[in-house]
Amino acid sequence: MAVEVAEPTGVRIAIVAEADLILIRQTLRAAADRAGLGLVDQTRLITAGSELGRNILTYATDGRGRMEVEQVRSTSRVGVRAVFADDGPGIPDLELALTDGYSTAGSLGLGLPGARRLVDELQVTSAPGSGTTVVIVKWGR
Amino acid sequence: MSDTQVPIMQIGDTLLTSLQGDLDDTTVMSIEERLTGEVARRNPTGVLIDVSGLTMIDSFIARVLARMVGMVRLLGSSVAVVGIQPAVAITLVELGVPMGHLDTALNAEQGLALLKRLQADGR
Amino acid sequence: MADTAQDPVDQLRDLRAMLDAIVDYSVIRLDAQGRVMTWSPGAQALKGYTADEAIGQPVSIFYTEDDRAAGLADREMRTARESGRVELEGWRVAKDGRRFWASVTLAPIRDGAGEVTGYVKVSRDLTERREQELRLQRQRDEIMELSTPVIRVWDGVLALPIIGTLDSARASRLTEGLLEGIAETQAEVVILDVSGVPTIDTQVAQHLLKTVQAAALMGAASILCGVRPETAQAMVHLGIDLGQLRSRNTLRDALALAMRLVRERVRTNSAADLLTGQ
Repeated sequence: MAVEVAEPTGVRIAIVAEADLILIRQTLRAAADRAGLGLVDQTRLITAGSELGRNILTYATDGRGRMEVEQVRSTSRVGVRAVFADDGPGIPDLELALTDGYSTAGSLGLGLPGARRLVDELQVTSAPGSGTTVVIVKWGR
Repeated sequence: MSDTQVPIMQIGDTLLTSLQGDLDDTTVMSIEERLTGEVARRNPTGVLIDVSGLTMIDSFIARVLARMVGMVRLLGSSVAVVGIQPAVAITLVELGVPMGHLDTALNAEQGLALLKRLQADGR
Repeated sequence: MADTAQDPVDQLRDLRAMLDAIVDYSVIRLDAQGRVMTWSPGAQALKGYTADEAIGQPVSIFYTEDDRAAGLADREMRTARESGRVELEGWRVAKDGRRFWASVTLAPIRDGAGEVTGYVKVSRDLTERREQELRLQRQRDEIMELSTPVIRVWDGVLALPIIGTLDSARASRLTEGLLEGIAETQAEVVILDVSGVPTIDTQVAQHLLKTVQAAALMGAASILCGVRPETAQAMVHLGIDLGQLRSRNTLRDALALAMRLVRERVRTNSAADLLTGQ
């Protein structure tokens, strides 16, 4: 049975201020480059990361937020895994948040459905009071 | 990148501004402010927003672009967004941000032609 | 496998001889900390070190610098401990510095109490096979590109004949190719010829719409052509609505419309020039 072995790119970024979004994008770009992702896939990954990072800034206002990036490998391909975690208030209705068109506070909503379309795997764990973790994986071809 | 580096140029009766590189939110919004200020001041017939230097447009930048376009139209100028890169175009569509309200062209040259057509149409 | 009739020393010698006879694989034993305990002719053939040079060394000497810095060896051993066994592929480095693509199986060895006393590591050189696979993949990609070229049918008009079934990966490549074609040729109209697509189901329709929307963001208008009557009916039944997308029966009609659109733009531009006195 083939098992993924992840090697960290050694980057963990605290998401506290708006300027951190640039760092998030740069880190994801570098990781995507290393994993050999093509330009369109790189753009997808960076955009998804920007959406998820922005979620943390917007919604986990008093929570600590962070992103960790790792390279992942399976037998035939290499990819990038990014984990976005925060200790914020959590998402009250996860199912609703994952539906298109969900909107809170006049913004375009949590951007989760959009981000999900851009990556190969997206997992959300969240509950009111226990924060939110979003894991995304984008594989190279 | 600081917003003071972002040029707003005048070509004939058209204003042209370029968004480039990796922009943070503050810079994007100050570009928006500067552009609307210039449009109000100079009252051009048309405005071109060149995004060929952007390697990514997320929902925030898309919203600001839509706002900029809306403001410029309200101020009476035609406006087009030019230079959306292939990878960015695909990603925007997949992300699901509605962009149908924008008039777009491939580059500044086609953008100027588009502005003329819009003006002939009363837009 | 214990042959009770045979002397244990002979058994060991036979086992040893068996391992030594395996030259296509590197079979080595590591201690609990990952240091090399036993070596074999196969290991030497693969990695270049002699037994004297290898025994006692940490297994990480066979890893690349990047992987060493990332602690990959330790993580692999931990995964082996937790999962019972790990199979993976990755770059390794031989004594002469040569990198090779290795297929590795790593399994923990436990004592009677279940404690891990070491690992057995079996490695094989797959560099050539990997290169073959990459070559094959490149060839397949090239064939894919050749079978769906983007064609310049007129000044400012591109046609994309889509032939065969569209899976997600292929549809993505087609879209990318078309958009790059728009950028390269400065096309303002694109014709999507689907006469070669057997069925247009919801997924195909979604790909088409995505392509049309992305092309529009780049300033290009789209025309669909080659939708057969049966396909059109099926699409209606499926509730597929292609919205404002222009559609023509034949490529010829689509091309005529495309040229008209281009001419109109030129005409409008000139008219506008007259109006503004330029």
